[in-house]
Amino acid sequence: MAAEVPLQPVHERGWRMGLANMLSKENGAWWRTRFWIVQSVIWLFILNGIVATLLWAAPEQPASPSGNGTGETSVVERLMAEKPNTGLFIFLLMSGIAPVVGAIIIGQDALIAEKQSGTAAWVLSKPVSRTAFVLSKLVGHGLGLLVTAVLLQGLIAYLQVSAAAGRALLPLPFLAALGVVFLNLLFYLTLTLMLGALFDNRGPVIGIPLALLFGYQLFLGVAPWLAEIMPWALVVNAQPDSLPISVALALEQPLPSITPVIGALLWSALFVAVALWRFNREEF
Amino acid sequence: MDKSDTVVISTQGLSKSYKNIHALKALDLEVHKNSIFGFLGPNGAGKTTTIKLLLGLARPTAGAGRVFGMDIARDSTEIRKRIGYLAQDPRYYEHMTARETLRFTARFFYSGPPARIEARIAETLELVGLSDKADRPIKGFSGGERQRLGIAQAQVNYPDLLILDEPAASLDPQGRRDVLEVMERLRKYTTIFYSTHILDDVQRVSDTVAILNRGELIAQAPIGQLLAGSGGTVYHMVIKGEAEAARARVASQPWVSAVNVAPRDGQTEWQVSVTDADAAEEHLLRWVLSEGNLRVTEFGRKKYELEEVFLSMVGEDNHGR
Repeated sequence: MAAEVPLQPVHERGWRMGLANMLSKENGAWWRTRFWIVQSVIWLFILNGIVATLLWAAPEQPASPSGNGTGETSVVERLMAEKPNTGLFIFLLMSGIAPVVGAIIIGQDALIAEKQSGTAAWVLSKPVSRTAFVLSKLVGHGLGLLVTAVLLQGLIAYLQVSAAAGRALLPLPFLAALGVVFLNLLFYLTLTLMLGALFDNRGPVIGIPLALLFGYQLFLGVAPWLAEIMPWALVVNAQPDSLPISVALALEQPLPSITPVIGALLWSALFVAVALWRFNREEF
Repeated sequence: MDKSDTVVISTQGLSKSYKNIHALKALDLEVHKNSIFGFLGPNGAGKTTTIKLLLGLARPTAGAGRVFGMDIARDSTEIRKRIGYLAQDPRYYEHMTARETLRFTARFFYSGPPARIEARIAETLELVGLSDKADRPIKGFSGGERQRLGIAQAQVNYPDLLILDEPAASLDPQGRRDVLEVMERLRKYTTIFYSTHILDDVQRVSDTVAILNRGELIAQAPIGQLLAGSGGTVYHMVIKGEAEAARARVASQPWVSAVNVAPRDGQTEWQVSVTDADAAEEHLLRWVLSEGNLRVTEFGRKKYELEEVFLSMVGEDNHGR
């Protein structure tokens, strides 16, 4: 009889204490509710809807004359003259912007809402480490966005573009491009989580990531070298006549630079470290 | 027996400041195993701050504290494995049901077996009278139901120490009685440390009391000792007739430190403070009755109400500043 079997205590120690339960809760909020369906549908309409419109409904555009006035066409122009390539470009570009806005909105709520509502204080009165609390938010939302906004949409876009091209795209380069798209998303998600740990109101937590996302041209105008260390070049043309790194990977073109990839990884790690440091000092 | 086996909570000079506000000043506290320890104080006295320090939700500015012999700053998560906590204004995930909330809580303590965890949850829901509402989202719960859920989640893990911050504050008389009954039922299994400003409740269930005022501990004693009064033993008499001569005779005795006289309904009420209770019991009533024209309508050793003790101590403390 179940009631006669003794309860088994959890054996997690140190920073892992409470992690399994917190991960189960955060993953449950995505996968045991309709949230993942809602997210999948939103990104389907926004990302693949635009790609479908471009590939299947938009009329063929005549090749435009070269913009450099020499009569020669750049590599980028030649690549973009092909509709499937343009579809791929638009998909990767939009994946680097729209789900990021979603990640910022979801991420800003992760810590701020719990701090403001008092649920963080309640949870942290149980045997759970603060590190586990923060990491569960990151893993839960990161995984949810990876599946619904990157992998699922990537699969549909892959099928669409392959159908439009009349041949299957090489899967590995395309997967690498999706990896870069997710890295860009991770940068903003970790940044938002860090700001949620640092601030007690939502203004800066939403405002700073959105400013970085949409104000990149302004920042590059002031300091062009930022293109090498910030994640912008992962998904947009940070420099004229260059492909975003994600598009270059998908189309098997030479990479304009590798440092934005390293930069995004390092920034994300730094943001997580600062978030953990700050949250471990938070008082409730 | 090792002291750490009997002392569940001990603090030495535990202090907490927020900028220029001293929320808690050098608190020295000792809570013994299996006691129901009432932590009293007016609003803003530092009760919740103390509880948050014990739970690791805030960090001490100075001093130290130990729970189960473990340091509250260094071993906080290990300490919380053995604690159940009910906050003053408990907040839960509103979309969860009561059962889901208890399941989420229980999973911090137990990894399985699932059937046994579910059985424990059902048992806890039954204990607090929420079985019929177990599968309703919390957002529809009344204040009393939330408080019951709070008690349930605080003791789902069979805690060795139950910390309750104003557990009966938002409850109606019936709810308060239920909470006190639950506390009394749990005392043989656990130590209960609870803050409150409802003095009747403290007098009813606590065995030890500490009074905090403006961040400072002004008293800590077993409830019986506190109710006996801090100013020595006092006898209470109500007398009919002209009692001035008797008063002078009593006041002149070496074991009498003061006789306070007040009129009451045409009679005279005495509060006789004594230094020797045996002498008082042997002579006091006899001497007064030996005055032929006097009749004594009430006589007894004065018992204080906790409210009197509390107001007197807090009042003295406030005036002394």
